Amino acid sequence: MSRLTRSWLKRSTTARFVMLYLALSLVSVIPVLVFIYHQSDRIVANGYQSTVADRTAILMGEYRAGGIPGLTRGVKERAATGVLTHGILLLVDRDGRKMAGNIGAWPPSLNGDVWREMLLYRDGHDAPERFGLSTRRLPSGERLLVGVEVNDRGPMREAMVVAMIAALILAIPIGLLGSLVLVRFMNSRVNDVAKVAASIAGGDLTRRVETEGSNDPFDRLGMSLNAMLERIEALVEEMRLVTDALAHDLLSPLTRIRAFMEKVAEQPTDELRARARDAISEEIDAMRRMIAGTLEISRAEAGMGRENFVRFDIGVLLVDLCEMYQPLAEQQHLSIAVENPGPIPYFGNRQLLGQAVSNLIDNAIKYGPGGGTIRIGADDFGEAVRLWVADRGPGIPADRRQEAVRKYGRLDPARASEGSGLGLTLARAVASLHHGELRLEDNQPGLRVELILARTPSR
Amino acid sequence: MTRKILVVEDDATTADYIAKGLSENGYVVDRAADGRDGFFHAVDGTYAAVILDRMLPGMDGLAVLSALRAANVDTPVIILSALGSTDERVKGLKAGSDDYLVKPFAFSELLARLEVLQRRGAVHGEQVVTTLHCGDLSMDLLSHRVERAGNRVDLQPREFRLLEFLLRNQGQVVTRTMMLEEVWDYHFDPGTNVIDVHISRLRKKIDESGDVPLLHTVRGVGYMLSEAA
Repeated sequence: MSRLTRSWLKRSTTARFVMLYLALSLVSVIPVLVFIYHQSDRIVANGYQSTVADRTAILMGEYRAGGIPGLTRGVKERAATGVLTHGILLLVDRDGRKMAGNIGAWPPSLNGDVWREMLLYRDGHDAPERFGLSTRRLPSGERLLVGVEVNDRGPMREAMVVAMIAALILAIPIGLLGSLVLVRFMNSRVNDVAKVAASIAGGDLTRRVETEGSNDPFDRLGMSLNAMLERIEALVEEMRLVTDALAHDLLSPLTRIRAFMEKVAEQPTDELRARARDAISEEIDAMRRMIAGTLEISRAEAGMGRENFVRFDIGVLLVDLCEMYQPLAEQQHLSIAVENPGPIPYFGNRQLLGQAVSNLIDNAIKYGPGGGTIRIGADDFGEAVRLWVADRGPGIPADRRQEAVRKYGRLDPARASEGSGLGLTLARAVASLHHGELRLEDNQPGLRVELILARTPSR
Repeated sequence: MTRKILVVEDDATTADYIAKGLSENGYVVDRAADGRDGFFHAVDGTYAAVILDRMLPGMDGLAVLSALRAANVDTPVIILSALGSTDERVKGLKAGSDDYLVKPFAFSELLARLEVLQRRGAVHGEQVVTTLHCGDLSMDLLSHRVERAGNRVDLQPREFRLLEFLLRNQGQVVTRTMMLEEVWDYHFDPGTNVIDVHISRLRKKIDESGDVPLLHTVRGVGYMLSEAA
């Protein structure tokens, strides 16, 4: 086998499949042929044995009727040339001397009355022939040998071997053909998928694999591929929106910074100059926060941060944050209350969860003004922990909730209100870091944000 | 006390900015532009503090830090890094840094943290303090009793810890993020003026019964508790 062929065999799945199929069909044909060979050989052998048994039975009948003379006569008659064409008979006396028969003498190695095969010379024949024979010792000491020529068993075996080799030779092209047909069929289905994948790689994200609904592995492959493509298309679209929004949100403070810098120079007093510089610092801080938030979200979405999971009490976290934001809420004529402030032990990223909840509380204060109580809390939710922040503000209509969770998705079109628009997105990313999800519910009135957090076994 | 600071930073502009600011505040500054050089300088342990960039040519900042700690150099180290996620901070602190500052930072923030770090180092080893004072403000750490000019001031537990932090670092500026880290143990930036609101409450409680204000706002940086105006 040349090196090229070897490497092709090694590399090509098709070639390996064909070879495997061929080997399998050969391996399954060979035992069948061997079995058939042995069975038919046994049937032929059985035929010879029953012939010998029948002839012995007839001669023994003559012995019972006419004693040794009767048997001697019977053997003599049958052994006469021309009567017994394919058999041998021999009757010897107590001392092994020939009394009648068509072979010269009792074969010296022959004892017992089991079936044997051996080469013997027949009277009047130059060449030895193969006989199957059995013997019988009579009560008065004489011995009888009855045999039949089995020479035709050899050609029969040869014919069988030839037939088998023919069958094997036939099995190879049939196996090859069958496997090629199968492989072609599979390749064509895989090719369909590959073509779609190629055009996706070429930039056309709208292409989909055709599925027939048969639910076979190819169909399922197609369906999961399509599901993956849906996701990729959605992500790309989201990425586009996010990039636009991020550009907008970063360019706006840059524009303001440039304006402030020009203003610094124009200010007449130190006090006013300092104030303009403060404004620049604030804009820079806002930009830094937005970039940090974006990175934090990407990390959480990528599942980074699980190495910093610790045991902590979500109840304590909520009480802490409630106390931290209470003064701010009171400034806005709101209050924050922790519902069921019991201990909820949890294994997770305390910093990120703290940040997520504080963003949610911050949102609730920002977007839910006008009195009322912001209720936060957590409870066991099946196997998971449910954590919520619910306000009494205007809420978010059901059809706009998707948009609200999107990065930089602020719901006022002018994007005028302060804030990075990352709060809900971060909360969702943190929930997914904890194998959970974010839910937006109607608080009637107001918005109720729920974080469902799976319990991870602590290592 | 040595006032010698080692700045390990490969970006020349940032290094100039830090060195200039530190010199203006009375520090002597040595500079190193890569990790190996930085380790070489810092390993003798004579610096008051090391300001260490996280991403350095030659030897990564965290590697320098680990090597220093392995060599039993316990000089306070502040890490500067553009990697600002909470996990990165935790990683930095775990590696043995005493503080972690995210770029871009205001010099005043760096200075405030540096001063607090030095004070912490100086207090280290002193006998246990049970009362803290600032002017006519006193805090008893055992009975949790706070008085201003002889009048009792009632504080919430968190306000108490906030005031304790300010008292322990009186005369020095503490920033909002420092307070968030020290008092609440959160390493994220809450974005809104949460801390300011807490400070204004605390100020109302401790300054309304005194003659002179003790809690001062330091513009653009943070707050300072001090007798002097």
